[in-house]
Amino acid sequence: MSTAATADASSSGDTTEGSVRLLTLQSEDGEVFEVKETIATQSVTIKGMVDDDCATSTIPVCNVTGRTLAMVIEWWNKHEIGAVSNEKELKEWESQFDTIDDKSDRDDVYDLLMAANYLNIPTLLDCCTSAVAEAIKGKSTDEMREFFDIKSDFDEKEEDALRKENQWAFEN
Amino acid sequence: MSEREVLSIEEESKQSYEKEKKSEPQQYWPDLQKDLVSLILEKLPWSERLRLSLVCKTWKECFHEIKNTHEFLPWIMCYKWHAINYGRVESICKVADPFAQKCFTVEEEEATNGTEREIFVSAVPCTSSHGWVLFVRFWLVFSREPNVNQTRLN
Repeated sequence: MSTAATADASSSGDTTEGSVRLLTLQSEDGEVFEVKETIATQSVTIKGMVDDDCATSTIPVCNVTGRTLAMVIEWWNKHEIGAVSNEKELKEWESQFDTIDDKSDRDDVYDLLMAANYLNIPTLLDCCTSAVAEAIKGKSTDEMREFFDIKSDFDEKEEDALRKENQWAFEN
Repeated sequence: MSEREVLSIEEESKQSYEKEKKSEPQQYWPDLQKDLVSLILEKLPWSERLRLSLVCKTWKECFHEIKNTHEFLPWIMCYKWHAINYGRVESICKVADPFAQKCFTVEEEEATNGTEREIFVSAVPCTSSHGWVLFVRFWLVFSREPNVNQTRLN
């Protein structure tokens, strides 16, 4: 693959010289991002590519849209060592992921979860799964199905039997 | 290749692209990979996991595969009794939730009967919901359905 023309032409001229190397990431829908190597290697997948010297040209991030990749990069920037002065500020910034009751937030968290899994970003994966867990806490099974838009594939008898087995957990 | 053929090929590829695009939203929560479902389940206490396990069959499989994480360790139980006179026994039974750092006392009259006391001796408190505690008997864990006892807390 040829090196794609980058959005940040000024900084892309020389990607290996100097103190910070820049990596070029291309999203599924063709958006190109220039990211510092030190930041992007928060992704275990990308770190592996860098370590194996495979990150010299554009890295295609096939399963992630530009919109989501931008959010991922924002996450990396916030989590770079020394980027945020204290833990409290970081937690506050992370708390935006805590309320995912409306559909668009839920979609965002889903996209981020997929990206975090694909790029193997442990901190983001942990945050997303926590956000989902927090959102469904206290919900009944039916409410959870509605939340995730999942249809039950148990037949009625099966489900009744399972509910009866641990009835105490299903009573409200 | 005639112009018409080229056009039809272009049209075809466009159609298949649009078709692909349309099918995209189907990739959603219902198709969530099992390892990701497990990661979510690990973040929830046992009683919540149980409700989540009934959402669909795949999620139920995950429920049986995951182990307890440090936040949801089994509760700690302390149980002791002594005979005050012939036929009468005084006992203290306390359970503590290590994560919430809460301690509960099991009502005396519920635990004074001999057979019930034996049940408590080999039981492990696992989780609680709606004022109930779920106990699992250690030596029965290998049976298909672990023997489960519930005791209301005061």
